[in-house]
Amino acid sequence: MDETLTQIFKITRLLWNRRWIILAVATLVCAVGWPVVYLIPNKYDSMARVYLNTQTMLTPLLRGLAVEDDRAREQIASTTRRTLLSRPNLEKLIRETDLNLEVHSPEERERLLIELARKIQVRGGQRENIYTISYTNKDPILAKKVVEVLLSIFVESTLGVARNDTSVTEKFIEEQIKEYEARLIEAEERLKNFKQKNMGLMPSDAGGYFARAQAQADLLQQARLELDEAIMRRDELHRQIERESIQLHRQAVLEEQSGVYDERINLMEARLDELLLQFTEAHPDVVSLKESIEELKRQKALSLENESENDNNSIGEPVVSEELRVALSTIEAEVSALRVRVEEYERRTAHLKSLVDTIPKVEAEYARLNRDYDINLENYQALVNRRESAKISRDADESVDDLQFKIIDPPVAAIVPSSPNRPLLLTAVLFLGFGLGAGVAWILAMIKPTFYEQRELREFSGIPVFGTVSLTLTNKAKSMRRLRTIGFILAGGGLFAAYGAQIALQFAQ
Amino acid sequence: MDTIEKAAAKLSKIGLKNTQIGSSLDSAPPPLSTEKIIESEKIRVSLAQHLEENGFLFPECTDIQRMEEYRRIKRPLLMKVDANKQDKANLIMVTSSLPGEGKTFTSINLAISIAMELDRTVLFVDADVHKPAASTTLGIIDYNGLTDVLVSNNKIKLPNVILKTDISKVSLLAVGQDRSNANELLASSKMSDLVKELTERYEDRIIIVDTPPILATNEASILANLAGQILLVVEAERTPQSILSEALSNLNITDETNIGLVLNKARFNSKKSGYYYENYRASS
Repeated sequence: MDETLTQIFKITRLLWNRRWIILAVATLVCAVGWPVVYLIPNKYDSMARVYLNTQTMLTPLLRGLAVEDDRAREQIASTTRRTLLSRPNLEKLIRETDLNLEVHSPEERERLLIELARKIQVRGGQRENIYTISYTNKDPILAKKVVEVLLSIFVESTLGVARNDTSVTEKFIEEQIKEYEARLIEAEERLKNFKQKNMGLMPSDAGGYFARAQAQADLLQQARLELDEAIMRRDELHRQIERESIQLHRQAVLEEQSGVYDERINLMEARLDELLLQFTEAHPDVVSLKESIEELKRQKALSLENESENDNNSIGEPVVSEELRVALSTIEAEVSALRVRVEEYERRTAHLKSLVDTIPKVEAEYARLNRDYDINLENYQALVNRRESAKISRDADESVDDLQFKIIDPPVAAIVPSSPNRPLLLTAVLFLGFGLGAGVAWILAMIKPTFYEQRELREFSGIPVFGTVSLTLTNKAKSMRRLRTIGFILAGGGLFAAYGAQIALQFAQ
Repeated sequence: MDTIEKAAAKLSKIGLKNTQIGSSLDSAPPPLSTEKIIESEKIRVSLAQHLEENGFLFPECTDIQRMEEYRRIKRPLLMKVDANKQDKANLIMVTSSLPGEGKTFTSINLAISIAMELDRTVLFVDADVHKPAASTTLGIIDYNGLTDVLVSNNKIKLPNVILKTDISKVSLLAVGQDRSNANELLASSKMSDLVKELTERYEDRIIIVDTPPILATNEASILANLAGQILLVVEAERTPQSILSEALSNLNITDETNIGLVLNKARFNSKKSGYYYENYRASS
């Protein structure tokens, strides 16, 4: 901190010691600079503000359909600017303001036009509908004239634009409607063709391809089940019939065979009984009869055995009941019918499977065409509605043109110049003067340095410094110094007074 | 008392002056009468008054800061004196690069400060023949002095011209009257003899010699060869560094040279923090 303070003091003393140089340089700079500031020519602004409502017609109609709000506005604003400063307009401008009388060659004319295009400012139109036209020139009357003429050109051109707006819009909508109509027809046509081409593959009410395939599979399964059932029942019936018929057949044969033997056995047994009435068991007739009976019984058994053996090899003619036979034929019929159905379903399933790729594609395409059509229809209807509302609003607003334009601030010939900012420049020159003065003083201090501190002396000379004696002033010296300081303040004050006077003058204007 | 002494001094001065005028017309100065010589011995310069009037240090000075500054300066000088008794160390030459840097001021103050030491006596010599500011300030400009001794060919001797003052430890040697051939005088062997006499005769006496600026004439550089110690006064904020360089080179400084610097009229003191404010001295 001390170091810095010492440094600051030192710099202050450095400059103060050369104060007259600083003042001289400053005065010189001001003596040169201030006149220059006055020599800079004045420039005058002229500005006009206009309210122009080009957007009322356009924006609501185009909202949502064509372009967003802000972008539309920006485009309109920049279009307006470009139109306004277009070559023909500028040519018109220089004719009507007599500026063209000042140019004598095509190059000069060209340069004038370019300069005008550059210098004329047309701002606004973005947020509000207020446009600002401004122009700066050293002749205030000319500036005003330029802006006036420009304003009239502006009004003409934008009114034209506004008037065109509505018809442009309507035309635009008409064209859109036509286009959508065409598209609609086209979409219908496509849909029709498509349906024709893919007749069998159209999704039915039951649902799309996959639903159909599933349904088909279900049906097939069902049919197969039924078939199996029917076959089972038939087989069961068959077995039943067989069992019955075998039994009956056996009984018949047995009855036949055992009938023959049984008769004889019965006769013999009757005789036997008779004999036994007369004779005893020991009687030779009885014995021989018994033997014969035994023999017959043995033969019967033998023949029955043989018969049953033959039974197993040949069914012979089944004998069935009427009922069973009827039932059997019914069930047979059922089975065949079911078989047919199963085959049919199998065929259908296979067919569907083969179309696994095709049908979904077709369905998707169909959906798309439908959607297409719907959208077109929607847009078409919207446009038709717009056209109607446009017609209505135009009819209502036919006579409202003059509300679309209004001059807010007309251009005036400025009395006070807009530039240059003389007070600022004068001050700048003053600062520059002192700055340069300080700079010069600094340079001099660097070129011809002296000693401010004992340390500097030591370092410079390499010789020991025995001490430092502080400055003392006698009263005489003190008053001398005071006089000199006053002299300096007066001189400096003179410069500042000159400065102050000029500033006051500037503001008094 | 002072006034009477002054009057007496004036009378004797007038007498001496008349002699001087005559001598300036001829080339060789007429010999002084012994009466006159003896009379100068009787003179006591009212030194204290002159000192006080002109803002110098004086015995009852209350400016402590300044007293301190000169105490600091004299210390190394005196140390050299005590260390090198043979080498004319007691002859201290005070000079500067340019006129107006304050060597007279410094030399006188230094003399007074040294005189305040308990065991020291001081002889102040004004050797600035061209601008004898010291003699003028101290009111001894019209007295016989250095140049007269050099010119006189042994007629006038040192004891005749050394002036006593009302400060007991301080004696003065005025610049003298015949100042026309200063350069040759000071360069002559007479000067070196005089220096020898000064330094040897009064070994305890510190001799402060106020010389011309180095760059103004070359007498200072000549005297530098005769002096035992050189004190070079540099004015702060004014003397360019290049000038100092030049002055130093003029002095032909060798390793044996005893030289020291003093920064005068300074406004900064780095030892203390901050800025000196000038000491405004009330004048009477």
